[in-house]
Amino acid sequence: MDEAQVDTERKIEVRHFIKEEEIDPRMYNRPYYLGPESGKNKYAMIARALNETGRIALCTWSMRGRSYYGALKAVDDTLLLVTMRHEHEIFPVNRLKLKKRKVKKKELQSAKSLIREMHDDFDPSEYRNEYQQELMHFIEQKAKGKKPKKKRAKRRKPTKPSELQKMLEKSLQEARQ
Amino acid sequence: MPSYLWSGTLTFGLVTLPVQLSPAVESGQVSFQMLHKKDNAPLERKYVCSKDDKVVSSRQQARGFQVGKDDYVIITDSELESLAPERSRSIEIDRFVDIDDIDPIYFNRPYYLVPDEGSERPYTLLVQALAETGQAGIAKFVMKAREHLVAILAVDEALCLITLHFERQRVSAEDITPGKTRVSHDELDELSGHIRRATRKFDPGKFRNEYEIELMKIVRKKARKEGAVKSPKAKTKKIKKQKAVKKVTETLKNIRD
Repeated sequence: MDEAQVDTERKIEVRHFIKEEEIDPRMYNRPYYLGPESGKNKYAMIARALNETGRIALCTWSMRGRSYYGALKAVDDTLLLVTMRHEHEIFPVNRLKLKKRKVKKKELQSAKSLIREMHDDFDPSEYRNEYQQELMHFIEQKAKGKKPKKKRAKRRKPTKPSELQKMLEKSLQEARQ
Repeated sequence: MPSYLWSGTLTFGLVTLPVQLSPAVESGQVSFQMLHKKDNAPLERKYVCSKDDKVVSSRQQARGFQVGKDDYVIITDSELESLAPERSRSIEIDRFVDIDDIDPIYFNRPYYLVPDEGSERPYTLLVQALAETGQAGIAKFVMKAREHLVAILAVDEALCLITLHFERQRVSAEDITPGKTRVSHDELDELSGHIRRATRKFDPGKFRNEYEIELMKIVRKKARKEGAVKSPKAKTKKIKKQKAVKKVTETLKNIRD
C-alpha cells in the first residue's frame, strides 16, 4: 500500500476558477478553514478577489500520501477549503429506477406558487438540535426513577393523487394567511 | 438497488407523500476485506462481552448512558422513538430557500429520497417545481436517534436530501481570519481580472483519485502474478486468475473514467 502513495508536497495548487453554481452539492465533502502563516496581505487579497468575482478556485493537493481536490472560496474575509467527492463516489440517480409521471401544468404552477409563498432566507442559527436536549432530559427523568411519559405520533396520511390540486390550493391559502 | 436507511413521509404545505431514504454516495470504491492470516477466512466485527468474552447477538444488546464508572441508565429503542415521534416519522419542509443561500460549509452528507408506489406524481411535481425555481426545502427530522437539519433539492430528476451541520457545530473563524489589512486596489483589480480570465467550465471527471488508481494498479499486478486466494473451508470453487484480473480492471476503469 505504501507503493500507491502519491508524493506529498506542502502546497495546494489552484488549477483554475469556476462559478460556484456549477458545483453539484452532492460533491461537497468536508470544510476546512485556511489560515495565513505569514503574508496576511496576500491572503486578504485572495479572499477579496474571490468575493468580488464570486468565483471558486479548484485546488488539488496531497496529504498523508493521498491526493485530494477541493473548492477554495471566500466566506467574508476567511478562506474556506471544502474537500470534494470524486464523481465515481456518487450513486447515479438512474440506479433508483424512478418511475416518471406526467405532472399537470396547473399543479406545477400551484406548487411553484407555494414554494414562492413559503420562501425565506436561510438562517442556520434558527435551528437547534432539540432532540439531544430532549434525550438528556429523558435520561435524567429515568435516572431519578421516574417513568417519563411516552409520546405517540399521529400518522400522516399520504395525499391522494386525485386531491393533489385541491391540497396545493389549500396549502397556498394557508401560506398566504 | 441500495438498501433503505429510513422510511417515513415527506410533507410540503399540506401535501404528504411516503418516501424512503437511500444513500447517494459511497466513500471511495477501493475497500478491503480483512482476512485471517493463517487461512484467509474473512473476518467479521462482533460485540464481545467484557465479562465472559462471549459474542453478544444484537437481540441481547441494550443501550446504556454512562452515569458512573459501572453505572448506566438504560434507554430502549421505543423510548428513543417516543422522544420525537413526529420528527422520527416525517420530514416536514418548513420553508424554501435559494440553493445559493446555503453556504457549502454547512453541507454534510447527501442521500436520495425515493417515493413509495403510488406517490410518484407528487414526487415528480416537487422535483420539477424545485428544479424550475432553484429552491431547496429546509426541514428537521430524526434518524437513528439523531436529529438532522436537511436541505431537499432536485438533482437529475430526483429529490436529494443533504444533511446540514448545525450552526453550533461550526467552528468560529475568529482566530484564523487576519485582522485589518491593506490591499492595493491596483493589485486587487489585477488579481480579479486574472481570476475571471482563468475561469473554466467545471468538469468533475477531470479530477481523479490518483491514490485509488495507483492502489488498484498494485492490486491488478498482484492478481496477475498470484491470482486470488480463499479460505480452504470456503464452499465455492476457486476463480481463475483471468477472472480475478478482469474484476480488478473493472473497478479500476470505474475510478478512472
